[in-house]
Amino acid sequence: MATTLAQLPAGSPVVTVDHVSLNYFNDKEPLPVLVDVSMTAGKDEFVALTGPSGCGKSTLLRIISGLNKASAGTVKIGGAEVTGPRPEITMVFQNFVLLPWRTALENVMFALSSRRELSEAQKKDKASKALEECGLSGFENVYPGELSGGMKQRVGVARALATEPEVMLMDEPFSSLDDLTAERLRKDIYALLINPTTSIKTVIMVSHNVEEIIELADKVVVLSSRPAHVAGEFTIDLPRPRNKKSPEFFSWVDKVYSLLS
Amino acid sequence: MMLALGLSILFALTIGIIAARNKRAEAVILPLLDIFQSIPILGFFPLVILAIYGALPNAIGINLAVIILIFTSMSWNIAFGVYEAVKAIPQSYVDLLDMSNASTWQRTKQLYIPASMSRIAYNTQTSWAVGLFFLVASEIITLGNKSLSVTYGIGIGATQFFSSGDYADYVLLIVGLILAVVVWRFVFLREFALWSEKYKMMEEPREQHNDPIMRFYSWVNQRAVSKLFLLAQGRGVNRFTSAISRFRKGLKYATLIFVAIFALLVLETVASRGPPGIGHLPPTSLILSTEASVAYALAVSFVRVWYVYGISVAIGPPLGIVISLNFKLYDIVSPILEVIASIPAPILLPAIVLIPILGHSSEGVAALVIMLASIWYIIFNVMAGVRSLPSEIKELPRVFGVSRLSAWRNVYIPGAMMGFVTGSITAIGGAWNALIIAEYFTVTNKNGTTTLLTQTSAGIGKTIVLATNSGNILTLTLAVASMTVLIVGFNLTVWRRVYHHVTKRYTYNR
Amino acid sequence: MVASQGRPLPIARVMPGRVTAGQVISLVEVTGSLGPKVDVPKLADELGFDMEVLPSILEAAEMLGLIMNERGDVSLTELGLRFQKTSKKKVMLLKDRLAAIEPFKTAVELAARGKGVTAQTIADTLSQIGIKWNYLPEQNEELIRDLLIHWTIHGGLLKYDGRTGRFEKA
Repeated sequence: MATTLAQLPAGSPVVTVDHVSLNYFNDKEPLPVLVDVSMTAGKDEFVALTGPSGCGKSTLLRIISGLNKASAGTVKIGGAEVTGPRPEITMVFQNFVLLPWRTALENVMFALSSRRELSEAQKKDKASKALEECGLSGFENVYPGELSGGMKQRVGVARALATEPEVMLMDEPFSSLDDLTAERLRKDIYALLINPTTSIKTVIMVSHNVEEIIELADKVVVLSSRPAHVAGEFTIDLPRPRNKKSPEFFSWVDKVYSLLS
Repeated sequence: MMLALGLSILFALTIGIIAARNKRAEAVILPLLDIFQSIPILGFFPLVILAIYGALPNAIGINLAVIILIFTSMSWNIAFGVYEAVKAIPQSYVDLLDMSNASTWQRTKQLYIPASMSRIAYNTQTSWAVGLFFLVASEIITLGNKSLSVTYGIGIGATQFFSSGDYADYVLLIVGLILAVVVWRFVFLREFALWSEKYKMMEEPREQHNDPIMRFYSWVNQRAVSKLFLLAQGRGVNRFTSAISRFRKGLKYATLIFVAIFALLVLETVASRGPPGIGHLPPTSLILSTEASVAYALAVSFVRVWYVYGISVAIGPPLGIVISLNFKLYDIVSPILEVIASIPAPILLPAIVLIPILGHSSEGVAALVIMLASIWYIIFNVMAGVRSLPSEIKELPRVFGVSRLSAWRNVYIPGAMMGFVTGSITAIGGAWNALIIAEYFTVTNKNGTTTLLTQTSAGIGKTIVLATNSGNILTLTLAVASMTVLIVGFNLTVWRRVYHHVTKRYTYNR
Repeated sequence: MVASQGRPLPIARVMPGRVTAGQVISLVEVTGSLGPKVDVPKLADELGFDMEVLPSILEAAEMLGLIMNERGDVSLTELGLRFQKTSKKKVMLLKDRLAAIEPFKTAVELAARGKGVTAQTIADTLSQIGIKWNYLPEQNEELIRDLLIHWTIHGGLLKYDGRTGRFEKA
């Protein structure tokens, strides 16, 4: 699996969402949530998924992760269909979702507990390294309740990175942090995800913060309000690092806003 | 029973409001509530009966004693609810009334009572179940001494039908009781709870209405016993922090008051029974030898309570976790468990004796009765704990594809920990109460003779019942006092520490 | 003891509660990028802090020797400039500065004595010399723990183990 994805040329699709629809059933009456959604996330691409609140963007992310099932259509990763959670896909949550009764290190090790081929010491080693990469060396034995919001999310990212994933899904990862903390974390996380040494082949992030999207994403997929279909898709070709005060940046922000409203 | 409930609510309102609004009263009332909450009230019942019967030697006296018992069993929990509700009223509301020069009665009517309404409703659901247990138990206890029995009641009916071989009537009665419980619980109390919603002050998070069981049992403890533990420990609940130091000071006074009430009760009893009379203390050697036998019985019962608790721990939490992780299973099983749990254990005792293997072992019977009176608290609290975990946390094992073992070790068991401990505290309390029927149980036949159904070789429950029947005030007093000291001491030391640790580590907040 | 010898008690330098390293880093970055001198309203605007939190961040940064604040005109010190340029483990630069400020000073002293020290002991020791952040003991202890975890681990002063609740020499 890993090798096939690694051999893909840059830009070729890693995640393919193919005509995915989702209905909720309410008194036997189908209630459409997602209608015929198709999109791709290419190799070395950072894709942002946005739309009006409640449109189902997080649900789409959950379908991609294999946690939820679509009513119709398929999700493929490098050619293999996603039918349930897979080890090469990982997730970072809006509310961190750390185990409060486990230390930072134990939280990261938890994500490795399915890796039978690793010894306890190797797991510990990997977990410490992931924490260190996320700027948390020295915090191994601290409980999540003793950490600030930004640090908790760093543990969440470290947990995801430790599994050496190929597809990184992020569900509003910065939205429960204050502006300043979010700003710093965005920079650090982008550098961690998109670099030559990482195992990550593609990133899909759900967000409703348009400036955040224009700052980070290579491509943005805009969903319409419920029932959601793809309202637009743009490739953001701004050079990096992106200057949030440049007129080009603002014109991109306007462009996405106009589709959202 | 309704009378007792009405009295309880009235009492709870008075005490709760006074405690919440008067700092000096708060310092004494809170620790006092804590003590009353944790002692096995059933143990006190014989003393109360003898005391009241001494004053009113007729059926009215006995019925009064029963009402007092039920009232006592139901009050504390509701009083806590009122206290917390009134304490939580935003200061601006109080200021408003201050500025309008409202009288105490107006304040009570306009603000305190409406503010307490929803808490009273929720806590009543709990108190009702507790009260029912005591109702049946008290009727049955009085049977031991023919001169002291209530003339009619469910408990008596059940045992009489049983002893005279009317098994059909016995079963019919239990079915009837279950129906009554179901109707009362799911219709009346639920409606009351829903109706009281409109009295909610602020945007408190609404608990799920489709889930009466969970709501019900999480209230048993979290709102009462455990909150106080938390309070005494001085952690977490900020708005109560100033109350903590007062609580510590108040504990002394509260203990004094408690001892005074106890002494009064004993004196009253002694006086009503004639010799040895007030002031004539029995010789020290007699006290010591009685205490020795009481201590032995207490030790036996202590071991009994704990091994039954051990069995409950092996069954309860895994069952609770499995049920609450599976939505379909939960929907089917939890109402069934709820109904089984609502049948007071004493009423089932005659049937338990008939179980072939157990019937010949009084120890087995006692263990089963104790378990039936206590395991539910563990199961329902564990269920409530697991259900209240955020769904994302419960999903983590799937997200990271971890093994079932790792999921239980890292997610489900720690997630259930808080509910397990709060449930355990109440379960142990329930177990001590159950001893009094579990260790010695007689039924009265229609012709007035009594038959001994089961008795264990030794135990504090048996000691108390026997002492009651023979009017042995000394043994009774020492037994009740020793048991109380043991339980309160245990709560203040062991449980409080465990509870503190668990709240610190095992509560879920982001 | 000092007072009995007729000298005034030294005024301990005390870290404002609830100031995070992130806030100080942002302050230094913005000050550095906006030029040699920036006035406080401008800083508040750029950082998105209101005037309720900015003063304590300025106070902390000044105490740490990162900025100078001359009647509302803020500029970076030598250390501030170095701090701004360092990309990794910035807070390590502040190790010595932190060690002179409460509650870190007392924490380091107590931790040096042996098997580590809890936030409670540190809080008790500090309140004996009249230093507390919150009137309520429980909240005071919590705040001190937060400050210590936040600054001393990043600063390389202390180690912390949540399982024992003890801070130890790094």
